[in-house]
Amino acid sequence: MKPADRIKKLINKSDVTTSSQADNRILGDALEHLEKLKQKKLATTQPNIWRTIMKTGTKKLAAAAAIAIIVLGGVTFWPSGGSDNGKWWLGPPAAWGQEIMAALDTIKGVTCREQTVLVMSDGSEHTSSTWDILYVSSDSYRRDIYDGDFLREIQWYVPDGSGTLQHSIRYDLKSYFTHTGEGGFGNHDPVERMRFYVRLLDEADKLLGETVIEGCNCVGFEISAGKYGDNPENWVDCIWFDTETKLPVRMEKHGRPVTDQPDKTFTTIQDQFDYNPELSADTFIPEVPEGFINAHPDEIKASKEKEQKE
Amino acid sequence: MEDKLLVLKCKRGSRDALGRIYRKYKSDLLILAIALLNEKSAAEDVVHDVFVTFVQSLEKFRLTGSLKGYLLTCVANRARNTNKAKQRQQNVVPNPAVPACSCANGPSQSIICNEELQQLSVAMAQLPYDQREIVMLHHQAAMTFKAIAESQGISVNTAKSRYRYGLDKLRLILDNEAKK
Repeated sequence: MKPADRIKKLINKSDVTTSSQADNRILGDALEHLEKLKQKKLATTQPNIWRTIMKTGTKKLAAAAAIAIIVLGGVTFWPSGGSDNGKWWLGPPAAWGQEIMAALDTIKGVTCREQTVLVMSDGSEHTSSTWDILYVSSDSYRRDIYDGDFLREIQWYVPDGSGTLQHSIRYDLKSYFTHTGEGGFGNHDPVERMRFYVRLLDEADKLLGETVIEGCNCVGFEISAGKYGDNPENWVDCIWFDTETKLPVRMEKHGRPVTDQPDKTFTTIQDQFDYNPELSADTFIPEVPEGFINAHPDEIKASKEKEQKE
Repeated sequence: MEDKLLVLKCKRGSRDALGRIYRKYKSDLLILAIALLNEKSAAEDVVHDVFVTFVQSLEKFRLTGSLKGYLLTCVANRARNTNKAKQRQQNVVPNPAVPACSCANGPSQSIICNEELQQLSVAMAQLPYDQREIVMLHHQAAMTFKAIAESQGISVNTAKSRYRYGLDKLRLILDNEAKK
Protein backbone atom coordinates (compact mmCIF):
# COMPACT_ATOMS: atom_id res chain seq x y z
CA MET A 1 0.00 0.00 0.00
CA LYS A 2 1.29 3.49 -0.87
CA PRO A 3 2.31 5.60 2.17
CA ALA A 4 -0.29 8.20 1.22
CA ASP A 5 -3.05 5.56 1.16
CA ARG A 6 -1.79 4.15 4.41
CA ILE A 7 -1.91 7.47 6.20
CA LYS A 8 -5.30 8.21 4.68
CA LYS A 9 -6.62 4.90 5.97
CA LEU A 10 -5.23 5.63 9.41
CA ILE A 11 -6.88 9.06 9.45
CA ASN A 12 -10.18 7.61 8.23
CA LYS A 13 -10.15 5.00 10.95
CA SER A 14 -9.20 7.50 13.64
CA ASP A 15 -11.97 8.40 16.00
CA VAL A 16 -12.59 10.21 19.26
CA THR A 17 -15.28 9.92 21.85
CA THR A 18 -16.02 13.04 23.84
CA SER A 19 -17.44 12.99 27.34
CA SER A 20 -20.44 15.11 28.18
CA GLN A 21 -18.02 17.21 30.22
CA ALA A 22 -15.98 18.08 27.12
CA ASP A 23 -19.12 18.65 25.05
CA ASN A 24 -20.57 20.91 27.72
CA ARG A 25 -17.38 22.91 27.88
CA ILE A 26 -16.94 23.42 24.14
CA LEU A 27 -20.55 23.67 23.06
CA GLY A 28 -21.71 25.28 26.31
CA ASP A 29 -19.32 28.21 25.90
CA ALA A 30 -20.16 28.55 22.20
CA LEU A 31 -23.89 28.60 23.05
CA GLU A 32 -23.26 31.20 25.71
CA HIS A 33 -21.64 33.42 23.09
CA LEU A 34 -24.53 32.73 20.73
CA GLU A 35 -26.92 34.00 23.41
CA LYS A 36 -24.81 37.14 23.78
CA LEU A 37 -24.94 37.62 20.03
CA LYS A 38 -28.73 37.23 20.12
CA GLN A 39 -29.02 39.76 22.93
CA LYS A 40 -26.84 42.18 21.01
CA LYS A 41 -28.99 41.72 17.94
CA LEU A 42 -32.16 42.15 19.98
CA ALA A 43 -30.86 45.41 21.35
CA THR A 44 -30.38 46.76 17.86
CA THR A 45 -33.48 45.27 16.23
CA GLN A 46 -35.95 45.16 19.11
CA PRO A 47 -39.13 45.21 17.01
CA ASN A 48 -38.14 42.07 15.17
CA ILE A 49 -38.84 39.75 18.11
CA TRP A 50 -42.01 38.14 17.13
CA ARG A 51 -44.25 35.49 18.51
CA THR A 52 -46.12 33.14 16.27
CA ILE A 53 -49.72 33.99 15.87
CA MET A 54 -50.47 31.99 12.79
CA LYS A 55 -48.46 28.81 12.81
CA THR A 56 -50.36 26.30 10.71
CA GLY A 57 -53.68 25.61 9.14
CA THR A 58 -56.69 27.56 8.17
CA LYS A 59 -58.36 27.06 11.54
CA LYS A 60 -55.91 29.48 13.07
CA LEU A 61 -56.52 32.06 10.39
CA ALA A 62 -59.76 33.09 12.00
CA ALA A 63 -57.96 33.60 15.27
CA ALA A 64 -55.24 35.56 13.49
CA ALA A 65 -57.80 37.71 11.76
CA ALA A 66 -59.52 38.35 15.08
CA ILE A 67 -56.22 39.37 16.62
CA ALA A 68 -55.49 41.56 13.65
CA ILE A 69 -58.79 43.32 14.14
CA ILE A 70 -58.07 43.87 17.81
CA VAL A 71 -54.58 45.13 17.02
CA LEU A 72 -55.73 47.34 14.22
CA GLY A 73 -58.66 48.59 16.27
CA GLY A 74 -56.32 49.53 19.05
CA VAL A 75 -53.80 51.45 16.98
CA THR A 76 -54.56 54.93 15.84
CA PHE A 77 -51.93 56.60 13.76
CA TRP A 78 -53.89 59.75 13.19
CA PRO A 79 -54.50 61.62 16.43
CA SER A 80 -55.46 64.71 14.44
CA GLY A 81 -58.60 62.97 13.21
CA GLY A 82 -58.82 64.38 9.69
CA SER A 83 -61.49 66.47 8.07
CA ASP A 84 -64.41 68.05 9.95
CA ASN A 85 -66.92 65.32 9.19
CA GLY A 86 -64.35 62.63 10.09
CA LYS A 87 -64.14 61.51 6.46
CA TRP A 88 -60.46 62.17 6.06
CA TRP A 89 -60.38 60.45 2.68
CA LEU A 90 -62.45 63.25 1.22
CA GLY A 91 -59.55 65.63 1.88
CA PRO A 92 -56.57 65.96 -0.48
CA PRO A 93 -54.73 62.60 -0.79
CA ALA A 94 -51.40 64.44 -0.79
CA ALA A 95 -51.96 65.26 2.88
CA TRP A 96 -53.34 62.02 4.29
CA GLY A 97 -51.26 59.96 1.85
CA GLN A 98 -48.17 61.35 3.48
CA GLU A 99 -49.46 60.35 6.87
CA ILE A 100 -50.08 56.81 5.63
CA MET A 101 -46.59 56.67 4.17
CA ALA A 102 -45.12 57.77 7.49
CA ALA A 103 -47.13 55.08 9.26
CA LEU A 104 -45.98 52.44 6.78
CA ASP A 105 -42.38 53.48 7.43
CA THR A 106 -42.79 52.48 11.06
CA ILE A 107 -43.99 48.99 10.20
CA LYS A 108 -41.43 46.32 10.97
CA GLY A 109 -43.39 43.38 9.67
CA VAL A 110 -46.66 42.21 8.23
CA THR A 111 -48.53 38.98 7.76
CA CYS A 112 -51.39 38.62 5.34
CA ARG A 113 -53.34 36.15 3.23
CA GLU A 114 -53.18 36.04 -0.54
CA GLN A 115 -55.85 34.40 -2.65
CA THR A 116 -56.46 34.04 -6.36
CA VAL A 117 -59.92 34.18 -7.91
CA LEU A 118 -60.54 32.92 -11.44
CA VAL A 119 -63.13 34.99 -13.28
CA MET A 120 -64.94 33.06 -16.04
CA SER A 121 -66.26 34.53 -19.28
CA ASP A 122 -69.81 34.64 -17.81
CA GLY A 123 -68.53 36.66 -14.86
CA SER A 124 -68.78 33.80 -12.37
CA GLU A 125 -65.91 33.53 -9.93
CA HIS A 126 -64.03 30.52 -8.59
CA THR A 127 -61.65 31.00 -5.69
CA SER A 128 -58.55 28.88 -6.10
CA SER A 129 -58.05 26.16 -3.50
CA THR A 130 -54.44 27.30 -3.34
CA TRP A 131 -53.80 30.28 -1.13
CA ASP A 132 -50.85 31.77 0.71
CA ILE A 133 -49.90 33.33 3.97
CA LEU A 134 -47.15 35.88 3.56
CA TYR A 135 -44.78 36.84 6.34
CA VAL A 136 -42.73 39.92 5.65
CA SER A 137 -40.11 41.56 7.84
CA SER A 138 -37.68 44.34 7.07
CA ASP A 139 -35.21 41.98 5.42
CA SER A 140 -36.91 38.60 4.98
CA TYR A 141 -39.91 37.11 3.31
CA ARG A 142 -41.76 33.85 3.78
CA ARG A 143 -44.63 32.42 1.82
CA ASP A 144 -46.66 29.47 3.13
CA ILE A 145 -48.64 27.95 0.29
CA TYR A 146 -51.74 25.98 1.19
CA ASP A 147 -53.88 23.72 -0.92
CA GLY A 148 -57.15 23.81 0.99
CA ASP A 149 -56.18 22.92 4.55
CA PHE A 150 -52.95 21.22 3.47
CA LEU A 151 -49.72 23.17 3.84
CA ARG A 152 -48.11 22.24 0.53
CA GLU A 153 -45.02 24.40 0.43
CA ILE A 154 -43.00 26.99 2.33
CA GLN A 155 -40.72 29.43 0.57
CA TRP A 156 -38.17 31.58 2.33
CA TYR A 157 -36.27 34.56 0.94
CA VAL A 158 -33.61 35.58 3.40
CA PRO A 159 -30.55 37.79 3.00
CA ASP A 160 -27.33 35.96 2.24
CA GLY A 161 -24.41 38.28 1.68
CA SER A 162 -25.15 40.48 -1.30
CA GLY A 163 -27.87 38.15 -2.60
CA THR A 164 -30.94 36.39 -1.30
CA LEU A 165 -31.07 32.79 -0.22
CA GLN A 166 -34.18 31.24 -1.70
CA HIS A 167 -35.17 28.06 0.03
CA SER A 168 -38.34 26.06 -0.39
CA ILE A 169 -39.69 22.87 1.08
CA ARG A 170 -42.44 20.85 -0.57
CA TYR A 171 -44.49 18.77 1.83
CA ASP A 172 -46.32 17.07 -1.03
CA LEU A 173 -43.06 15.96 -2.67
CA LYS A 174 -41.09 15.60 0.56
CA SER A 175 -38.30 17.64 -0.98
CA TYR A 176 -36.38 20.84 -0.54
CA PHE A 177 -34.48 23.10 -2.89
CA THR A 178 -32.13 25.99 -2.18
CA HIS A 179 -30.29 28.52 -4.26
CA THR A 180 -28.86 31.98 -3.79
CA GLY A 181 -30.17 34.57 -6.18
CA GLU A 182 -29.46 38.19 -6.89
CA GLY A 183 -31.41 41.03 -5.32
CA GLY A 184 -34.08 41.03 -2.67
CA PHE A 185 -37.76 40.18 -2.37
CA GLY A 186 -39.14 43.63 -3.17
CA ASN A 187 -41.79 42.40 -5.61
CA HIS A 188 -43.34 40.23 -2.95
CA ASP A 189 -43.44 42.88 -0.27
CA PRO A 190 -47.05 43.94 0.42
CA VAL A 191 -45.90 47.00 2.35
CA GLU A 192 -43.97 48.13 -0.70
CA ARG A 193 -47.13 47.61 -2.73
CA MET A 194 -49.14 49.68 -0.26
CA ARG A 195 -46.64 52.50 -0.61
CA PHE A 196 -46.89 52.21 -4.37
CA TYR A 197 -50.70 52.58 -4.31
CA VAL A 198 -50.66 55.40 -1.79
CA ARG A 199 -48.30 57.33 -4.06
CA LEU A 200 -50.83 56.82 -6.88
CA LEU A 201 -53.91 57.86 -4.91
CA ASP A 202 -53.82 61.33 -6.44
CA GLU A 203 -54.62 59.61 -9.70
CA ALA A 204 -57.29 57.23 -8.34
CA ASP A 205 -60.09 56.63 -10.84
CA LYS A 206 -62.86 55.94 -8.42
CA LEU A 207 -63.76 56.32 -4.77
CA LEU A 208 -65.39 52.99 -3.97
CA GLY A 209 -67.12 54.32 -0.88
CA GLU A 210 -67.40 52.72 2.52
CA THR A 211 -67.93 49.09 3.39
CA VAL A 212 -67.20 46.71 6.24
CA ILE A 213 -64.22 44.37 5.72
CA GLU A 214 -63.11 41.97 8.43
CA GLY A 215 -65.30 43.84 10.89
CA CYS A 216 -63.74 47.24 10.16
CA ASN A 217 -65.31 50.17 8.42
CA CYS A 218 -63.24 50.70 5.29
CA VAL A 219 -62.97 53.07 2.40
CA GLY A 220 -61.77 51.94 -1.01
CA PHE A 221 -60.08 53.46 -4.03
CA GLU A 222 -59.83 52.10 -7.54
CA ILE A 223 -56.79 52.77 -9.71
CA SER A 224 -56.34 51.60 -13.25
CA ALA A 225 -53.12 49.67 -13.77
CA GLY A 226 -52.75 51.74 -16.92
CA LYS A 227 -51.60 54.53 -14.58
CA TYR A 228 -48.34 52.69 -14.15
CA GLY A 229 -46.20 50.73 -16.59
CA ASP A 230 -47.53 49.63 -19.97
CA ASN A 231 -50.60 47.97 -18.54
CA PRO A 232 -53.98 48.01 -20.26
CA GLU A 233 -56.69 50.23 -18.78
CA ASN A 234 -58.93 47.27 -17.95
CA TRP A 235 -56.49 45.99 -15.38
CA VAL A 236 -57.87 47.49 -12.23
CA ASP A 237 -56.36 47.64 -8.75
CA CYS A 238 -58.19 48.45 -5.53
CA ILE A 239 -56.97 49.34 -2.08
CA TRP A 240 -59.14 49.53 1.02
CA PHE A 241 -58.18 51.46 4.13
CA ASP A 242 -59.51 51.12 7.66
CA THR A 243 -61.28 54.44 8.25
CA GLU A 244 -60.14 54.46 11.86
CA THR A 245 -56.47 53.45 11.63
CA LYS A 246 -56.07 54.48 7.98
CA LEU A 247 -53.98 51.35 7.40
CA PRO A 248 -54.70 49.19 4.33
CA VAL A 249 -56.88 46.16 5.02
CA ARG A 250 -57.26 44.74 1.54
CA MET A 251 -55.59 45.04 -1.86
CA GLU A 252 -56.96 43.63 -5.09
CA LYS A 253 -55.63 43.25 -8.63
CA HIS A 254 -58.41 42.60 -11.14
CA GLY A 255 -58.52 41.57 -14.78
CA ARG A 256 -55.13 39.88 -15.13
CA PRO A 257 -54.96 37.47 -18.08
CA VAL A 258 -54.83 33.71 -17.63
CA THR A 259 -52.16 32.03 -19.76
CA ASP A 260 -53.67 30.19 -22.75
CA GLN A 261 -57.24 30.97 -21.59
CA PRO A 262 -58.13 34.31 -23.19
CA ASP A 263 -61.75 34.17 -22.03
CA LYS A 264 -60.75 34.13 -18.36
CA THR A 265 -59.04 36.56 -16.04
CA PHE A 266 -57.83 36.29 -12.52
CA THR A 267 -57.95 38.51 -9.47
CA THR A 268 -55.37 38.50 -6.69
CA ILE A 269 -56.54 39.51 -3.24
CA GLN A 270 -54.39 40.28 -0.23
CA ASP A 271 -56.28 40.62 3.03
CA GLN A 272 -56.24 39.71 6.73
CA PHE A 273 -53.31 42.05 7.30
CA ASP A 274 -51.66 41.92 10.66
CA TYR A 275 -49.24 44.78 11.29
CA ASN A 276 -46.21 44.29 13.52
CA PRO A 277 -47.29 40.83 14.63
CA GLU A 278 -45.18 39.03 17.17
CA LEU A 279 -43.75 36.00 15.43
CA SER A 280 -41.41 33.34 16.74
CA ALA A 281 -37.74 34.02 16.10
CA ASP A 282 -37.53 31.01 13.76
CA THR A 283 -40.26 32.22 11.36
CA PHE A 284 -37.65 33.32 8.85
CA ILE A 285 -35.21 30.48 9.45
CA PRO A 286 -35.38 27.98 6.59
CA GLU A 287 -36.01 24.39 7.65
CA VAL A 288 -35.30 20.99 6.14
CA PRO A 289 -37.67 18.42 7.62
CA GLU A 290 -36.20 15.02 8.45
CA GLY A 291 -36.07 12.69 5.47
CA PHE A 292 -36.77 15.32 2.77
CA ILE A 293 -34.64 14.99 -0.35
CA ASN A 294 -32.71 17.80 -2.00
CA ALA A 295 -34.10 18.19 -5.51
CA HIS A 296 -35.92 20.70 -7.65
CA PRO A 297 -39.70 19.99 -7.74
CA ASP A 298 -39.57 19.76 -11.56
CA GLU A 299 -36.97 16.99 -11.37
CA ILE A 300 -39.10 15.02 -8.94
CA LYS A 301 -42.22 15.46 -11.03
CA ALA A 302 -40.33 14.42 -14.19
CA SER A 303 -38.94 11.33 -12.52
CA LYS A 304 -42.43 10.41 -11.20
CA GLU A 305 -43.91 10.82 -14.66
CA LYS A 306 -41.15 8.64 -16.10
CA GLU A 307 -41.84 5.98 -13.47
CA GLN A 308 -45.55 6.04 -14.30
CA LYS A 309 -44.86 5.62 -18.02
CA GLU A 310 -42.61 2.66 -17.33
CA MET B 1 -26.18 22.80 1.15
CA GLU B 2 -27.24 21.76 4.61
CA ASP B 3 -24.20 23.49 6.10
CA LYS B 4 -25.24 26.75 4.50
CA LEU B 5 -28.63 26.46 6.16
CA LEU B 6 -27.08 25.52 9.49
CA VAL B 7 -24.84 28.59 9.34
CA LEU B 8 -27.81 30.73 8.42
CA LYS B 9 -29.75 29.34 11.36
CA CYS B 10 -26.81 30.00 13.65
CA LYS B 11 -26.69 33.56 12.39
CA ARG B 12 -30.32 33.82 13.43
CA GLY B 13 -29.44 32.51 16.88
CA SER B 14 -30.49 28.88 16.58
CA ARG B 15 -28.95 26.85 19.41
CA ASP B 16 -30.06 23.66 17.73
CA ALA B 17 -28.15 24.52 14.55
CA LEU B 18 -24.98 25.28 16.48
CA GLY B 19 -25.36 21.97 18.31
CA ARG B 20 -25.75 20.18 14.99
CA ILE B 21 -22.61 21.78 13.56
CA TYR B 22 -20.70 20.81 16.68
CA ARG B 23 -21.89 17.21 16.61
CA LYS B 24 -21.26 16.95 12.88
CA TYR B 25 -17.65 18.12 12.94
CA LYS B 26 -16.33 17.71 16.47
CA SER B 27 -14.61 14.39 15.70
CA ASP B 28 -12.84 15.71 12.60
CA LEU B 29 -11.70 18.82 14.43
CA LEU B 30 -10.48 16.94 17.47
CA ILE B 31 -8.68 14.34 15.36
CA LEU B 32 -6.81 17.09 13.53
CA ALA B 33 -6.00 18.95 16.74
CA ILE B 34 -4.82 15.79 18.48
CA ALA B 35 -2.71 14.74 15.49
CA LEU B 36 -1.13 18.19 15.37
CA LEU B 37 -0.61 18.76 19.07
CA ASN B 38 -0.33 15.21 20.38
CA GLU B 39 -2.15 16.30 23.49
CA LYS B 40 -5.83 15.84 24.26
CA SER B 41 -6.32 18.77 26.61
CA ALA B 42 -4.56 21.19 24.26
CA ALA B 43 -6.62 19.80 21.38
CA GLU B 44 -9.81 20.31 23.36
CA ASP B 45 -8.77 23.91 24.08
CA VAL B 46 -8.13 24.55 20.39
CA VAL B 47 -11.50 23.14 19.30
CA HIS B 48 -13.18 25.09 22.09
CA ASP B 49 -11.57 28.33 20.95
CA VAL B 50 -12.43 27.64 17.32
CA PHE B 51 -16.12 27.18 18.13
CA VAL B 52 -16.30 30.21 20.37
CA THR B 53 -14.55 32.38 17.77
CA PHE B 54 -16.80 30.97 15.05
CA VAL B 55 -19.86 32.10 17.02
CA GLN B 56 -18.33 35.47 17.81
CA SER B 57 -17.67 36.11 14.14
CA LEU B 58 -21.04 34.78 12.93
CA GLU B 59 -22.46 38.21 12.18
CA LYS B 60 -19.83 38.86 9.53
CA PHE B 61 -19.25 35.24 8.56
CA ARG B 62 -20.15 34.14 5.06
CA LEU B 63 -19.69 30.55 3.98
CA THR B 64 -18.04 30.47 0.58
CA GLY B 65 -16.56 26.96 0.58
CA SER B 66 -17.09 23.96 2.81
CA LEU B 67 -17.80 24.53 6.48
CA LYS B 68 -15.71 21.52 7.41
CA GLY B 69 -12.74 22.90 5.48
CA TYR B 70 -13.17 26.29 7.10
CA LEU B 71 -13.32 24.87 10.63
CA LEU B 72 -10.37 22.52 10.01
CA THR B 73 -8.28 25.46 8.75
CA CYS B 74 -9.21 27.38 11.90
CA VAL B 75 -8.11 24.41 14.00
CA ALA B 76 -4.83 24.18 12.09
CA ASN B 77 -4.18 27.92 12.56
CA ARG B 78 -4.91 27.77 16.27
CA ALA B 79 -2.90 24.60 16.73
CA ARG B 80 0.05 26.32 15.01
CA ASN B 81 -0.20 29.22 17.46
CA THR B 82 -0.48 26.84 20.39
CA ASN B 83 2.55 24.99 19.17
CA LYS B 84 4.55 28.21 18.79
CA ALA B 85 3.56 29.32 22.28
CA LYS B 86 4.56 25.94 23.63
CA GLN B 87 7.93 26.16 21.89
CA ARG B 88 8.53 29.62 23.36
CA GLN B 89 7.69 28.30 26.82
CA GLN B 90 10.04 25.38 26.39
CA ASN B 91 12.83 27.77 25.45
CA VAL B 92 12.37 29.65 28.73
CA VAL B 93 11.39 26.92 31.15
CA PRO B 94 13.33 23.66 31.29
CA ASN B 95 11.40 21.13 29.23
CA PRO B 96 9.13 19.09 31.49
CA ALA B 97 8.92 15.38 30.85
CA VAL B 98 6.49 15.26 27.92
CA PRO B 99 4.86 11.88 27.66
CA ALA B 100 5.61 10.04 24.45
CA CYS B 101 1.93 10.14 23.58
CA SER B 102 -0.23 12.28 25.78
CA CYS B 103 -3.23 11.43 23.64
CA ALA B 104 -3.16 7.93 25.13
CA ASN B 105 -6.23 7.33 27.22
CA GLY B 106 -4.95 8.23 30.64
CA PRO B 107 -6.91 9.20 33.74
CA SER B 108 -8.56 12.14 31.96
CA GLN B 109 -11.44 10.61 30.06
CA SER B 110 -12.99 13.76 28.64
CA ILE B 111 -11.75 12.73 25.18
CA ILE B 112 -11.10 9.10 24.38
CA CYS B 113 -8.98 8.30 21.33
CA ASN B 114 -9.34 5.00 19.52
CA GLU B 115 -6.31 2.86 18.76
CA GLU B 116 -5.82 4.28 15.26
CA LEU B 117 -5.84 7.86 16.51
CA GLN B 118 -3.30 7.01 19.17
CA GLN B 119 -1.13 5.38 16.51
CA LEU B 120 -1.57 8.38 14.23
CA SER B 121 -0.74 10.80 16.99
CA VAL B 122 2.41 8.92 18.00
CA ALA B 123 3.59 8.83 14.40
CA MET B 124 2.75 12.49 13.76
CA ALA B 125 4.53 13.60 16.93
CA GLN B 126 7.77 12.39 15.37
CA LEU B 127 7.40 14.68 12.36
CA PRO B 128 8.46 18.33 12.34
CA TYR B 129 5.36 20.45 12.94
CA ASP B 130 5.33 21.96 9.43
CA GLN B 131 5.28 18.54 7.79
CA ARG B 132 2.66 17.25 10.23
CA GLU B 133 0.32 20.09 9.41
CA ILE B 134 0.61 19.70 5.65
CA VAL B 135 0.06 15.93 5.76
CA MET B 136 -3.03 16.33 7.94
CA LEU B 137 -4.50 19.25 6.02
CA HIS B 138 -3.99 17.50 2.71
CA HIS B 139 -5.44 14.19 3.83
CA GLN B 140 -8.02 15.12 6.41
CA ALA B 141 -9.25 18.48 5.22
CA ALA B 142 -8.75 17.49 1.56
CA MET B 143 -7.01 20.83 1.02
CA THR B 144 -4.99 21.37 -2.14
CA PHE B 145 -1.30 22.20 -1.86
CA LYS B 146 -2.11 25.60 -3.30
CA ALA B 147 -4.64 26.31 -0.52
CA ILE B 148 -2.27 24.99 2.14
CA ALA B 149 0.57 27.08 0.75
CA GLU B 150 -1.61 30.19 0.79
CA SER B 151 -2.79 29.57 4.36
CA GLN B 152 0.79 29.08 5.58
CA GLY B 153 2.38 31.81 3.49
CA ILE B 154 4.78 29.42 1.72
CA SER B 155 5.25 28.43 -1.89
CA VAL B 156 3.37 25.51 -3.40
CA ASN B 157 6.65 23.71 -4.05
CA THR B 158 7.67 24.06 -0.41
CA ALA B 159 4.30 22.67 0.65
CA LYS B 160 4.71 19.73 -1.71
CA SER B 161 8.23 18.92 -0.62
CA ARG B 162 7.30 19.16 3.06
CA TYR B 163 4.44 16.78 2.35
CA ARG B 164 6.77 14.32 0.57
CA TYR B 165 9.33 14.41 3.37
CA GLY B 166 6.59 13.98 5.93
CA LEU B 167 5.09 11.05 4.09
CA ASP B 168 8.48 9.30 3.71
CA LYS B 169 9.17 9.71 7.38
CA LEU B 170 5.72 8.48 8.32
CA ARG B 171 6.22 5.38 6.19
CA LEU B 172 9.41 4.56 8.10
CA ILE B 173 7.76 5.22 11.45
CA LEU B 174 4.75 3.06 10.65
CA ASP B 175 6.99 0.28 9.26
CA ASN B 176 9.03 0.31 12.45
CA GLU B 177 5.87 0.22 14.51
CA ALA B 178 4.62 -2.75 12.50
CA LYS B 179 7.92 -4.61 13.04
CA LYS B 180 7.62 -4.15 16.80
